[in-house]
Amino acid sequence: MEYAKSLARLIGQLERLPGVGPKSAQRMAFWILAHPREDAAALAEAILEVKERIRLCPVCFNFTDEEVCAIDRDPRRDRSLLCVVAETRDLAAMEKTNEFKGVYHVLQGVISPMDGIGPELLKIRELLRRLEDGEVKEVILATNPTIEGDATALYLARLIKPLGIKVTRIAHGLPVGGDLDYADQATLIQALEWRREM
Amino acid sequence: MSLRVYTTPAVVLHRINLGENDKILTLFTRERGKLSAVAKGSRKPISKLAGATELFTHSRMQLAVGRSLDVITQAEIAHPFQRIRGDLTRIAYASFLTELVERFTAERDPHAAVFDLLVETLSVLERTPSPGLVAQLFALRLLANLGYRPHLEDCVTCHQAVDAEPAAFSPSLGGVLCAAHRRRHADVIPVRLDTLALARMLLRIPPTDAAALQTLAEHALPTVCRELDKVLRAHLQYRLERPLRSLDFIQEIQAMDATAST
Repeated sequence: MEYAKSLARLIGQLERLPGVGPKSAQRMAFWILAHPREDAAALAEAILEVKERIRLCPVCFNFTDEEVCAIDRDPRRDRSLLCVVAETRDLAAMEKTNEFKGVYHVLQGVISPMDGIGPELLKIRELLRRLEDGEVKEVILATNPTIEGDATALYLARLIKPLGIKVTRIAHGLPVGGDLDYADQATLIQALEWRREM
Repeated sequence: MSLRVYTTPAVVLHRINLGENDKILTLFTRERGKLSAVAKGSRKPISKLAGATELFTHSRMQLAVGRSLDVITQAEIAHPFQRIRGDLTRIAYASFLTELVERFTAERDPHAAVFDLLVETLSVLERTPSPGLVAQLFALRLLANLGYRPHLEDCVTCHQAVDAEPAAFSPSLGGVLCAAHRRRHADVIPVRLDTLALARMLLRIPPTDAAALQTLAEHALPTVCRELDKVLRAHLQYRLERPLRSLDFIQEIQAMDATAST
């Protein structure tokens, strides 16, 4: 059966979203159809609002709908501690810990030599400019423990160390609740390498 | 059912994320050549596949034949090449190696010799003091294995001896030219006889011969090595028709090293 034109159009648009296949798109479209007009309007408005209002914070390149993002405006944050992450998603994950009280810098990507993503495509120049005034005492490199994440961290460490700023990298190893028995060599080698005295 | 599952040694050449938790890998398998496969759940922190699906990793993989892509069902790491990932220069050269294999091989076209060369060279790359030379050796051997070996002994058109300094290399003909023939070709690159000698030597020694590599590294002049880089780059790019992406990154790192040492 073919759907009415406007319904088919909605399904088509929903299908373009990541992780949404034809079946889920149909379910979503029928949900929208079955619910009051206000619900649909709220969804449509929310979509348009993020497109209009969200932009990159000029300080840390996090997404924000204000002049400067909430973290950079917060006077309680420790500006001597700078955590470098690849994506905004990673920043959100770090924030969920409620442990980190410093500020962030979002690179908006990682170095990937094979995909032609070089350092010039990331917010690295902006990071170096932030380090110029000497307020930052430690840079924590919180990129993923993947080849690209490691390459990015190594590249940044090479650039930042000569400035006399302490450069650290988050630990790699076994996940909490993990099983030593099931861990692969790569993970165990890292876990041994990053061990610490008790 | 047994026909639908197979086991093969494999190296991860490339990977892209798929959905929330999965990855699509480009694998270079010893038995079936280059192929794409899905690693389900491999981005979850407690995934058993996470380590084996990392770039450059050499594993023994069990795959199930899928409708479009094969699916990795089990993987045991044979060699994680841990020392490569701790060093920016080594990561850059390992990327060059895997990019070459990805670009030069066709899907499902097995090349056991190339597979062994890749694994051997990655392992050498972990410790070698001269990763640049190892990468050149790999490129030359790969070309030779796949039938693109550059002709370096005598003139590629008339087989006259090439002994005038500097010689000339033509990327389109894939070899050196004598004085008479070089005038007829526009794309020639001037090349020292020492550079040709270095390339010929690299084609003769296996990547695992650390002593021979060490001797070469000690005796080859930096200018000669750079010139071989230039010739190889032109030769590779002519065969591939598109630039190699990892070369830009290698150049960037070389520039960093140069400024750091001054």
